[in-house]
Amino acid sequence: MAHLGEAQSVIELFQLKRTTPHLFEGEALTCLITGEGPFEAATATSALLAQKTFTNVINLGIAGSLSNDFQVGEIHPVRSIYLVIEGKPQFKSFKSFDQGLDCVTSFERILTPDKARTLTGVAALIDREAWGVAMAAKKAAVNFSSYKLISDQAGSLGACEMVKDKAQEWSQKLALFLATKITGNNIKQEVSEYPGFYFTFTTRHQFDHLVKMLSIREKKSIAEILNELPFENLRELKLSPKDRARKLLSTLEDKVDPLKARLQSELLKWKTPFEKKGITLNTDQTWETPEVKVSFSIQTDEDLKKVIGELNELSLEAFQNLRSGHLNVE
Amino acid sequence: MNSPLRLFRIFAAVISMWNKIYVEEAILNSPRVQNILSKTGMVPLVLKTYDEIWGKSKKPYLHKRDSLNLFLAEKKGQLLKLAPDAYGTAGEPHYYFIHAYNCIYECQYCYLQGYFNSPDIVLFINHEEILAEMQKTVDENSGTRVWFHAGEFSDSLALTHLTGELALYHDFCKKNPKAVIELRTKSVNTKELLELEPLDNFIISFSLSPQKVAKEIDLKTPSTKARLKTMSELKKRGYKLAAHFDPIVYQDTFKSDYQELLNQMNDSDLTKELDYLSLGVVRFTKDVYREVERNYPDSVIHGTPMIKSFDNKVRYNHPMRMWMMNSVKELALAAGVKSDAIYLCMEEHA
Repeated sequence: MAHLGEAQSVIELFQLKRTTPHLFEGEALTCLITGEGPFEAATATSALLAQKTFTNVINLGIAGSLSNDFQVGEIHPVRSIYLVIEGKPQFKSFKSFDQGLDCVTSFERILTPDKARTLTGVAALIDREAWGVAMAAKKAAVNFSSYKLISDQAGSLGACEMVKDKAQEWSQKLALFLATKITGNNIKQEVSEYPGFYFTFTTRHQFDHLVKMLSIREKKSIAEILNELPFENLRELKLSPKDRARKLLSTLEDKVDPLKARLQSELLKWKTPFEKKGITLNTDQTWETPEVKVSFSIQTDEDLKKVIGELNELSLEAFQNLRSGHLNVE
Repeated sequence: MNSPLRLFRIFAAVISMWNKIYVEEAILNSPRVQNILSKTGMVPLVLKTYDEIWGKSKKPYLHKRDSLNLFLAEKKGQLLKLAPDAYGTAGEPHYYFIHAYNCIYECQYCYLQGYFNSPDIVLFINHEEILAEMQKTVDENSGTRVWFHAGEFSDSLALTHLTGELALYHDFCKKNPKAVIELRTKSVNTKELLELEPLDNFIISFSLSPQKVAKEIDLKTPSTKARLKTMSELKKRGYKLAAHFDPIVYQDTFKSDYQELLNQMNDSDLTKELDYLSLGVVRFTKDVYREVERNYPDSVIHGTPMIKSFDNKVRYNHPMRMWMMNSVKELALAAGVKSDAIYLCMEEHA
């Protein structure tokens, strides 16, 4: 993996011990932090492979998407890996799987849409190290495979920020994915102290964060906050453990955010009459932008006239008022 | 044998708030530096330029608690900076002048914890050059009122007993009626100030939070009660005053807390007298937010969810901050603050 941030959850999940600044070792798995860039990745991997014997080299990490066909957060096996230097594709490429997405490794970060655009014909994914790791593995005649989690749209504004924001989440996702590949089973993190509730890595992190937030807000200990949570009531509901955990998180979110429940209920009041007529009103979940996306499907001119008539009834005032905090909350 | 001066220096050094004092070689013998040194009683370490040491390595912010160094230096480069939009009242140019870096106080939300690589304090002593730049700016904006704010990178009054520069800036205001200086502070250190005559264009603005909030998050600062007392004294002397309710931090009782603060201000007839009152809801750049999480993990600031907002700053969501700001604004209006004296700070609109 290229960065410690990406690898953090792998290290935790597989209980790897740091043996050198960039190497974490366990019984069945060794994790090498290669650093960013194909040159760095190649030299670090080669050096390790020269010292120890491995049966497989897996390059696991995040990649930018050069295509609009894939979603951020998806993990894909990599098919072929190419290299570009100063935007120019190089001759040598390596294979990882028979099926999957192609990936191009770049010497430089791709920070503008123009630079990304020229590479869309080369591969669907772009990263900074896979080619180097692949080259070192192939030279050492060790099996090589690569999986990439799509972290952002390459070259898009704010991509780097987004990757930083999501680093922990992506790391957890990669770790669970790797566990699935290595053990053949999903590692389920049932939280034993709360029977009847199922938390993933991510939801457990959210749960802990919300409980801490509430303990700060209400100036109570974590234990006091936990004692006050409606575990018993939720257990009585006919829900799956996963849905029960979600419900618990939602309860916590309502407690820490004094406006959330009220805002959601008022927003729904504004949206529902239109949704019943097949018109969807999409607003920014964070409430940050005033933009409203209106969508509907029509098949005939009659449908169109009907929708136009309904849209004449639409006013953004209620939404704008909510956004401006006019809530009459005490 | 120890002379009285030497004994004084030893005593002062023992009780000093400074771990070490560094002075730039070129200004070591200047009367201003010698005056500061004599007040601290410490023997300085001499450097060519302060940034040979200051900020060269990342010094954790909270190290200021036990190893705060003082640097005396000359400010090079930009001496004035144009203030960002919504910094002060609209329609007039606003600048801040840089006479110091870092602060002796420890407010949990302070952006200085993520701004510099070091919490050590730098006092720039070339005030004449700063004032010359201010004069140039006033001359270039002839006919327009130009604002100069102190306190962007340091409290503007907290160390004035040591630095003694207030009279120079006061004199500048006296000579330039179109220039307005705002001294932003949480300090009650008004000894130097009270020796000067009040001027309409020399405004002292106090950052205020409700008492119980200030106690939790404005660490090592004078209490709200003490700040209000000082405001009251300055008002009696005829000083122009302003206030900043910034940052407003959410607590379930925030409305009643601000009501109480405004009541306290009213008890001293302060609300009607305010030249302006700025309101701002707590906000951070991402780097500062990370520092706040690291330095004060149990702060009340972390008791309510925040999001990344339109300008990449970390804030409460839009409805929440608008609701809070408008709620406090309504309370302020009801308490007698003039409507046109209230401005909303660092937000795109109300």
